[in-house]
Amino acid sequence: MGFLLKRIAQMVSVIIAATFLAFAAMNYLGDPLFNVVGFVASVDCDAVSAGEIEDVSGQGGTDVGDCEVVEAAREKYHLNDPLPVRYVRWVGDVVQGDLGVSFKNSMPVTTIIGNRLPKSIFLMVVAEIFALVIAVPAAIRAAYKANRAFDKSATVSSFGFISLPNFALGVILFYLFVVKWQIFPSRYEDDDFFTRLRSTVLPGMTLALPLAATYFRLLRTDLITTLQEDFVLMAKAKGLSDRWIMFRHVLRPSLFSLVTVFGLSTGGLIGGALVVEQIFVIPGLGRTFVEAVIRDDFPLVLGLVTIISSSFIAINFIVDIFYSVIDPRVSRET
Amino acid sequence: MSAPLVSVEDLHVSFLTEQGSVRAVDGVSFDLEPGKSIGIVGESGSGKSVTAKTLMNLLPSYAQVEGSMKFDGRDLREIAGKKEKHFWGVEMTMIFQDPMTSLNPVKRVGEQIAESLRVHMNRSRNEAMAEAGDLLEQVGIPEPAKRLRQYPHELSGGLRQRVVIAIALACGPRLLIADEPTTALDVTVQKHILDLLDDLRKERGMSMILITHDLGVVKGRTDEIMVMYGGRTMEEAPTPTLFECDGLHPYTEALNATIPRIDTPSHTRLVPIPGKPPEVIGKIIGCPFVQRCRYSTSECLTEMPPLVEQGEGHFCACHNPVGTPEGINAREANQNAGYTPAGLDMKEFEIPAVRRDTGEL
Repeated sequence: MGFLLKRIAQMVSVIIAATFLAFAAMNYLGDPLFNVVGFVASVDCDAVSAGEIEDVSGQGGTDVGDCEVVEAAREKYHLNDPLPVRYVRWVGDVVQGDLGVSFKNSMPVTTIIGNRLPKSIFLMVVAEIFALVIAVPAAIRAAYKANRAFDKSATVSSFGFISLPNFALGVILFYLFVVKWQIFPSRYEDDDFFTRLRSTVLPGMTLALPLAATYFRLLRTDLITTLQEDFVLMAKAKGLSDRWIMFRHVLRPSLFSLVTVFGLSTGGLIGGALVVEQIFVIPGLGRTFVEAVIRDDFPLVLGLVTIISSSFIAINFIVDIFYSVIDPRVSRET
Repeated sequence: MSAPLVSVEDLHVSFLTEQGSVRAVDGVSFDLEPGKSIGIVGESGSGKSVTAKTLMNLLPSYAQVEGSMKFDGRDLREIAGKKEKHFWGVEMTMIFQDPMTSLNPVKRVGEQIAESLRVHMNRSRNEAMAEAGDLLEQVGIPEPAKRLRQYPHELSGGLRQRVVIAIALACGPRLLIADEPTTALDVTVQKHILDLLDDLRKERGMSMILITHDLGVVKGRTDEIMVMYGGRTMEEAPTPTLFECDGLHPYTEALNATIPRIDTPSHTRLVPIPGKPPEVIGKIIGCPFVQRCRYSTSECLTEMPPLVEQGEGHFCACHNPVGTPEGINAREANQNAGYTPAGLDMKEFEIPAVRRDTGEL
């Protein structure tokens, strides 16, 4: 129980650190006021109140002076408060489920994320399933007959997939399966589970192949290492079959590297699949994130940072728990 | 004399490496009767473990095996070729040196014992687990029910080796090969484990091959002793006969001098054997021990001595066995020359002096 509390405290502090850094960076790199009121933000209101220059009123036909607009915006978004105070206020809103409103289209950030997150998660899940289904059996086969024909060809092709950039692989798959053979739709369809799956197969593959190659290499190496352990010799002396030894003795203790990288890559795929989302025109978190950053959409960026870092941390928390499931010697207290 | 349970004849095992073919076992023969035990003694690299693994069909596929190995009259290589499912682990089984690494760290002790019973004896999960508990009791582990649910890292080294023994005994094997079963354990635990193996063997009428580098371990425990060096049998005798003369072969004598004994005065220095065991690549001529032997003559460099019977059941492969006129003459001649025909300085055989100030050699 103490372990759980400690881990939760750790996770919360990581999320706080990540969001605070993002909060500070957004404030210093861009001017939030400019994003709200536009060019009017550059009006020198001190000079206006001193009567040195005239307040250019009549923005958009209203008779409100620019400085009043600026002042109202400062008031509304609490821009006069110091940064930490504004951050704490933002956290207070987040805790109540309010991530604010996008500067650009005035939609609530929660609505935007709620709309896009499921697509990203679905893509991530499909990609990881493909990657594991390809990598695990291949690694078992390759490690069982190490340095034979299958192992050698799988190792060579895994190098190929690791070094092939995502955009190249994506474009190749898109050309072959969408343009040439027209097996998969060119537009993202999201009417029901089936159409969503159909639209996710190709982008999922694009993400899965390099991942599978990495998984394959990690698992193969660990399996070969485990196969040289004394307890495998002992298992053979017990007269157990090769299959029994591989699946019941060797596989589990060989999963460490795979699980670690699985956790990191799964976390990375939420919001990190930008290139693939761009090629296959999927309105996922990756594209949303880049657009939000380019447009200085302050609340949206912060909302995304919160969601992405939370999922990243949650996934790696599960991975940490899984270590002690794989190997009872891994103490949960450390 | 009853029919032997194990009969090995002229066994050769070699491994192909980039430097050439390494002869790990070079013409070894022995018989083992049911219920009897034999100790195979030698340094690392003498071929004793390879002999055991060959019997157990545990060698990597690039090993080349020649000669005949029979178990209860059946050809072991034929059994291996047919991929018989219930032979190894059932009829004969093996335990290894280090109980820290020979148990699977991620499986409970109970499962590791029970799985043999499930695979070979067709027991259900529950039956197998109950039998595993009985086995733990037989190998002297208290609270078997609790131990069954524990992982290997929760047990001490001695307990783990007992678990390994329980696993080996699960299917009631007729032959147990124990490869340095106590080398990784501390001395007091060693004795317990060796006594346990002895008792279990007698109780079950099982045959045993006990492999060790320590003559003290086999003394008084096995019926026969075979001393191996460089993949060959150097000396073979019933245990009492061998210890009566402390070894006819210079290698046995040297091994004997490396172990501490209770009956010698305290502070008696142990005598190391100079040099290292050879790695036998390609065909060697002469005796493999010649480079480290103080009884060697020029004949030893060119001609491998055959294994001949020196006393009743006492075989020795040496041109100048210890205690014979040839041996005494050869040693004196070498002592006078200062060097052996193989070019070894006789000073190497002097007991090393300990420096008074540092206590180092």
